[in-house]
Amino acid sequence: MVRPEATVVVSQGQVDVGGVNVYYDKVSAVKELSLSIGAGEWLGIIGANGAGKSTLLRAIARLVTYDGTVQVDGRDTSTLARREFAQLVAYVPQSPEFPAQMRAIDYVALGRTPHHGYLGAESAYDRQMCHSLLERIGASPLTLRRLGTMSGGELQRLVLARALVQEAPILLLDEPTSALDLGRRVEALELIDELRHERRLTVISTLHDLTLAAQFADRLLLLAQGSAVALGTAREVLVEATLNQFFGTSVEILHNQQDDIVVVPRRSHVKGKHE
Amino acid sequence: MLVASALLIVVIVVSAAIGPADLPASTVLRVLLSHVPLLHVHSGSSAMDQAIIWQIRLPRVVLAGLVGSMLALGGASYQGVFRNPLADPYLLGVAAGAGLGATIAIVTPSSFAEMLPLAAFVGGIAAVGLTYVMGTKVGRGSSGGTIILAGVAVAAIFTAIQTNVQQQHAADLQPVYTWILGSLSVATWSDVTLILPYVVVSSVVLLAHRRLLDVLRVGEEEAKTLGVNPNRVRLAVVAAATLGTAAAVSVSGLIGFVGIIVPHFVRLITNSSYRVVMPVSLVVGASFLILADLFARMAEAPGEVPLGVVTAIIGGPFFILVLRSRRASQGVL
Repeated sequence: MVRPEATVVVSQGQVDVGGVNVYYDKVSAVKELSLSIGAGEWLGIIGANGAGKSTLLRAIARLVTYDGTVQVDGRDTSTLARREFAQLVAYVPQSPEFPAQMRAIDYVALGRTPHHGYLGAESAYDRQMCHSLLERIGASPLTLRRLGTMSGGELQRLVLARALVQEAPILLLDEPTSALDLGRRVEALELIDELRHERRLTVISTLHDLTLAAQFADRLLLLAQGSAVALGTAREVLVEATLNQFFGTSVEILHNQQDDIVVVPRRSHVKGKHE
Repeated sequence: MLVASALLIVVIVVSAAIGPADLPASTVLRVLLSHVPLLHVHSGSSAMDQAIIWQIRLPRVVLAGLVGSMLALGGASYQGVFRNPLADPYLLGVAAGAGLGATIAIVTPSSFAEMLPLAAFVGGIAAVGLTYVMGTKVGRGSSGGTIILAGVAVAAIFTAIQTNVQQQHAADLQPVYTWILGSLSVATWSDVTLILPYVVVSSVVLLAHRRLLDVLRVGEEEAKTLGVNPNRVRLAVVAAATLGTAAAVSVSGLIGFVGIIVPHFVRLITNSSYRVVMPVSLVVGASFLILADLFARMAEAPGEVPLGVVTAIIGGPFFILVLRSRRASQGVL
């Protein structure tokens, strides 16, 4: 009797960045960056303004031209057709465009575009998927509302929904929470975290808030002037000496009882001592 | 869509019935049905009535419908592809190019009247072609912005040349102006068959792109990350819209405003999705121009008001009323 060979489970969503350089008018924005992000991992990219966080993300998303290679599961993404690439990588920009008159369901359905032909149309299956995703993220009541009538938190959910119906194993998020208040921030990141576990997504996101970055990302990449200066777990990267050097301010790192890392900036002058 | 189509049929019958010789709508309907193959309806009306309806009024009504639907659909397409609520089908220079072509045809002594549509058509296509080449070369194909600016430049150049040609032939001022202001007064079935193929091809291509126009609403960059090439969509839509619009204005002259009023009106009464706006604009545009043309020939009968004047005079105030609605205040696109 022939035993069936064990099926090889191909993990999806491994990203390999090899020697990537990005130039804006000959000014180097990302320098010789190489790293691997495992399938299902959440990588947080941190760094000061202008450090190249968004540029790196945009290079991976093929929105800026770069030297070097970006591979997804061993395939060089620059060789893929745009539509094929969009089936592998979904990208959420820092300030997405929300057409005021568009209805939520139509907006989310745009995420299905890479699965249609050039002039293809949506199927009932596509619509069904959008409805069930809206339900999953608790946004069903928004379905027929126009984007112009919604709050920042609601819009954030919708853009996430749009990226998820793309069914891409890799999710790139540029400052996913910058427009949200503290409560909505945690809510949005929790949702991303739940969904990435449900769907085994690889998440690469830039994050401003270092405390939240430490809570949610598996690993952090610290960029300074386009180069990687630290890569590792939050505990390894978020150390006072490193942050003081690369954020140009003095910080204090606290550990609470739940073992969260809290990054507190220090004021340059002690209160009351201003002249 | 059903409502709009039903309305269009009523508009066609009513406007074919109204004219210097009053004919009841029932007669019009019977004459129309008598021309539908396989139906074998006998019109039962006099040869005179039949001729008035079939040879004089109907070609004009059908032509107005074709031109109106093309201008409205072209306007909606340009607004979508350039994400600009002010975009109209003349944005990239079709009007200026067609105006120059028509003027040259009118002032050239040896030319035949039949030359006019062809000259206008060629002029319109040439102007947009030049705009596109300039816009993509100068802006290296980067975004829609440079193409619009190139359109402004090309339109200015063509209009300047046209004005100069016109001034040198002051005797022909009257026909040139008549053409520029737009008119359907000499419409025949041959005009209809002349532009029909262009309008059909253009409309089919534009309607096929309606879903992609919805994708472009989230911007160039996000469209790319959704797997769409914005430049390719823009090229296809601009080419199709130009072809159809140039054909339309070549027989009708420069009728303004239809391409802006109709799509915005449709957006505000239906849904803003291009999947709805495109087909409904096509139908509503036809009704709108048929009614405007009815007004043009009846308001000062037996004289005629230029059609372009009518679309602006009744369209303008109506448009402002539409824009006062609650939805418009949230953003029009």
